[in-house]
Amino acid sequence: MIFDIIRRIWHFAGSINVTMAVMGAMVADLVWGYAMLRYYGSVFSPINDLGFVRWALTWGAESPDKTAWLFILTGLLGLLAVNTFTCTTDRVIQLVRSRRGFQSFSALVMRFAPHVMHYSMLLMFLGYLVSYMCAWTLLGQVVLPGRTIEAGNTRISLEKLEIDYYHGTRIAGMNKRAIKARAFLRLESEGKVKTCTLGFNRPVYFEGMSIHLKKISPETASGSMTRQKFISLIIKKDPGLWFYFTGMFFFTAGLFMYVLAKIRKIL
Amino acid sequence: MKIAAKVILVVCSALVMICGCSRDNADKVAVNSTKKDTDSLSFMSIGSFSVNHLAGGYTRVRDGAGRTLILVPRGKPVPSGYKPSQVVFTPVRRVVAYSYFDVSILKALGVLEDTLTGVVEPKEDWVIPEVRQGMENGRIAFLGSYSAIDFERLKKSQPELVLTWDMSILPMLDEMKTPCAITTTPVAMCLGARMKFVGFLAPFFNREKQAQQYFDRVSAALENIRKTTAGSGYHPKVMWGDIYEKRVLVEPGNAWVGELVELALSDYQFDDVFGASCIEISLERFLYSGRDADILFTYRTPENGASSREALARANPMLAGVKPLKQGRVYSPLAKYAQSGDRLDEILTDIAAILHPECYPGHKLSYFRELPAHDPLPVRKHHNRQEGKKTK
Repeated sequence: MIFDIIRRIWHFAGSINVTMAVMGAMVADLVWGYAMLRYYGSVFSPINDLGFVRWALTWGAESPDKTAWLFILTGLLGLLAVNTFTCTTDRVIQLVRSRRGFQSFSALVMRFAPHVMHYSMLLMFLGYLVSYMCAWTLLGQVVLPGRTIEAGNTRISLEKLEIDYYHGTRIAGMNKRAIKARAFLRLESEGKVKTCTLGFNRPVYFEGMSIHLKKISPETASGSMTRQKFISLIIKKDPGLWFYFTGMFFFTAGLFMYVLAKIRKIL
Repeated sequence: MKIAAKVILVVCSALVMICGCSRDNADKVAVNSTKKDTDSLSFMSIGSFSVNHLAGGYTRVRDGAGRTLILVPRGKPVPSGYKPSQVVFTPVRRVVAYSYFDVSILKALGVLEDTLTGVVEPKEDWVIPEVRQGMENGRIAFLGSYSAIDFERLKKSQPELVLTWDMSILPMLDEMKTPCAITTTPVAMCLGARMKFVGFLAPFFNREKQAQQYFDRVSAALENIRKTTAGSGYHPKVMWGDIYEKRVLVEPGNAWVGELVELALSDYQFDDVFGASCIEISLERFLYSGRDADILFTYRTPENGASSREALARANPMLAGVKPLKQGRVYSPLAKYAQSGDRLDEILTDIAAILHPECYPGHKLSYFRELPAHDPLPVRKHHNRQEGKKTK
């Protein structure tokens, strides 16, 4: 009796009708979300450093009329994940059962390609969930040249800061503006030491943490003003990162398998 | 049986996910104390700032840089997990403030005279009588220009809190174990945030009641502007910014002035520009918006060369091409404008009266000055000539 109910739920959860219904609801919800993000963007920006749970309990709960779409979207993504998982698992079981019908082992493996991509997508969803639930971020971490700050158990020292300024008039308004920065860091944690160079779009990874360059000063090379040199960092620890990377790796592998299978079919 | 295996698989996946989530280090840095102390009683967001009242009289605030500070009532234990520079004992008795706006908000809260001990502008630049008086009698110290702060002097003024926009002083203040709140944000404050900002500073001084009174006063002024301008058929096109020697700076559409202009049934020419206050745009964009604008608010004060439309055009010939300089109206802020955050209601009304003079007959501007077409006759020369005659 109980197994029968579970079986029915399982088949319902994996049906294409549920997929279409969830997708339709997601489109409507995202239209609502677009409007909210367009006009109330500041309500959502703290989610990046607070994480979903703490954001939901503060900003999210404060303005439910503006944030409800995001909670609904989270629920819909959850449903889509369940739907994808059940549907894909059904197909995988069927493939395994009919494994003897394939001409070769490689032909069987290639048939798994779409399912590898689906599971990879779920892994990436899982990464987002883990990030929202477990990641932490420290903002506004200012380091002066020759000084050290502490983030958790890690000591971050800025040994040297080099800033390249643009000189010329070819790009309007960019004359004497900083275009490249290199921050030479020394990172220490529990006996482990690493020296590295941090730049814009060039984060540094150390002991599960990622360190990002947020701001440099001075941003302009002005001869008349003596501005203090410093960098401002965003320090993140995001256990979800490895889920994304793994998901992306397997998704690419699945895609490669899929393309290979199609080519073999044509040839 | 196979179904049961599937269910177990789902449950295991969920467990793996949950087990992967171990909160460590920085979460402790963010906040970590007894449950009783961290139960949230009320939360208020003010743009990127936030104030979270916790049980036991504690308050957790988030400043403009996204940093967390814990406000601890004097005599109560400090919750664990915070660095000394994150802990502010309330009510704050000694504060150093960098910006004019912060100082004027201290005035709105009624704590300026008792708490302000240091500023970064010399006495001559202040128009707030309490500050000038405080500097005269030595209670308020000039700590040096923001780019050359005298930290010895700052230390001597023993601040319990520093309000600043300059992040470069954070490491030094960390060493001094002095808490600091960044009072500006990377994105310009919207009108709501500008009005509610007083609510961010209030819990530092236990002045929530005064903050509410201030907010109610400004809200009433805003409502009054809405009602007064509602029937106006005139929708002037407004721009707020200036062309400097190398830069063109404007107030973006998300800034409070942009929102106010739209609220007062006028068209803000830079409503599609988003970003920080005083944001840089291209010269072409400024001139394009200036082709059909009716009103220009310049950043320059009369002391900085905005004595007349002719003087502005002379200082920057590119600016001469915008319509407000040729046949519209140009307004320059008076010195007290930047230091009158405590009178935000009056400033908002002044701006509304500029946009819709037909709705405010007889209104006398207090914070802005309409620039005449030409500079008045050089009085000093005339005076000297007369003096010369007398001497002769």
